Amino acid sequence: MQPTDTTSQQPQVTTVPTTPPVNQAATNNENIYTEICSQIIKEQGRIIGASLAIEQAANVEGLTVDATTLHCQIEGNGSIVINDLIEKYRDFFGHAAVEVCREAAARFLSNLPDEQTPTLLKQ
Amino acid sequence: MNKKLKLYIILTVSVGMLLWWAVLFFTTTREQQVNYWWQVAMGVSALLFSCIGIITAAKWSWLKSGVGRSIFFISLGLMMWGLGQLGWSYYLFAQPGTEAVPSHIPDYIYFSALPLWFIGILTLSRATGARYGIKKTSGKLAVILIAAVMSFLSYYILVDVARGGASYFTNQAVLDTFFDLGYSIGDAILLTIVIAVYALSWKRLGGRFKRPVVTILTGFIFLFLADFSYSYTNGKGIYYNGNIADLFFFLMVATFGLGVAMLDPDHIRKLKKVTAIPANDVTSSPISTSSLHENVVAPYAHPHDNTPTKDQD
Repeated sequence: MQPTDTTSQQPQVTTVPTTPPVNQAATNNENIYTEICSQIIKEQGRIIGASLAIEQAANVEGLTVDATTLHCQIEGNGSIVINDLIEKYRDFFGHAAVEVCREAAARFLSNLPDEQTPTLLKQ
Repeated sequence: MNKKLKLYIILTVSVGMLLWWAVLFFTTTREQQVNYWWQVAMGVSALLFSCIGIITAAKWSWLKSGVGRSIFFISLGLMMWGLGQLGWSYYLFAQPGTEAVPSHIPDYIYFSALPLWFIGILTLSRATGARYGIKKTSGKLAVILIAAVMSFLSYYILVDVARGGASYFTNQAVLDTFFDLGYSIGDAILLTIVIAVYALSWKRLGGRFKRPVVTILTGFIFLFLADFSYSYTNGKGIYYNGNIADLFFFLMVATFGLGVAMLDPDHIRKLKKVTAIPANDVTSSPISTSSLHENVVAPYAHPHDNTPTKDQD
């Protein structure tokens, strides 16, 4: 494949694959997991305070959080990292904290296949 | 100030105050200076405990978090109550022997605690998950039922039993009626909300902070009992400084103090310092996917988590 010249005015022909490649699907899921993490930390921050919420998240193995933007990076299995994150918050107020996490993540869950949805986020 | 010290101070003061009260009560000591000083000590205790609460709110990001707001407003309410109590105590020394306090200033200060506590419980209910309970039909029905039962019960207890019926209010000066009615309605509303919050949260509330939340909610039950017994004994002319109503008032002060101090998150932070793996470690020394699966994922996997790993994909 020739490298694309962005300055060229010639129309480009791109092929649209009928199914997304495996790597792309995995990347999409990773993005969803990071979005879920950010949203959960944000919502928990409203209840227990941003500093405590970030502090808890920073102690989840495989999860890195930017304290300013709340942008998350996940290393490893996103589903397990999210479960672990929710467990941290569950330590505070029990199932009430899990409900907060579920509500925070609700809008992202439709984009995840059921088998890749973190267990604690399932109803 | 760490959590241990806070709890030590509150428990020591509380035990001392309860012993003092027991001596007054069981030796039937009445209308003595020692009774009045007990009232002063109760006001000072409330102020001390409220300061401890306000310090604790700082650890939850002050007003920026639901729990921080809740602790702050409950503590501020306790502070106002303590100031009102000191105002009341002042008149005990300044004009001993008078039937009623000649000024309504302590009443204004006492009364200001009610809306602060109201805000405190409502914000606390967010952490306890009560709002998820109210979304269900059973939750809505429970709230309606609790409100109806509590309205009837509160009217019966606070008006019929404690004050001998609604005619009690018509025979009073306007401001007296305002405060008497205000306390009764305020207490009834607070207790109704407390019971509703507890009923809506009891299945959801758990974790390390369940006990402090329940302790704070219990404080409101003591407040209701205290106001009821004060109105009842005062109405019958059998109130004296240091009677059973004052015991309930102090139990309210102590449970609020204990509840907010127990909400100190120090122990969680200390625990993490021992067990935590800093997030920076992940970025500074990235672990390969295979090593993650071998060494990290398995011990952390939730027992019910059947999510396939990348390797399985």
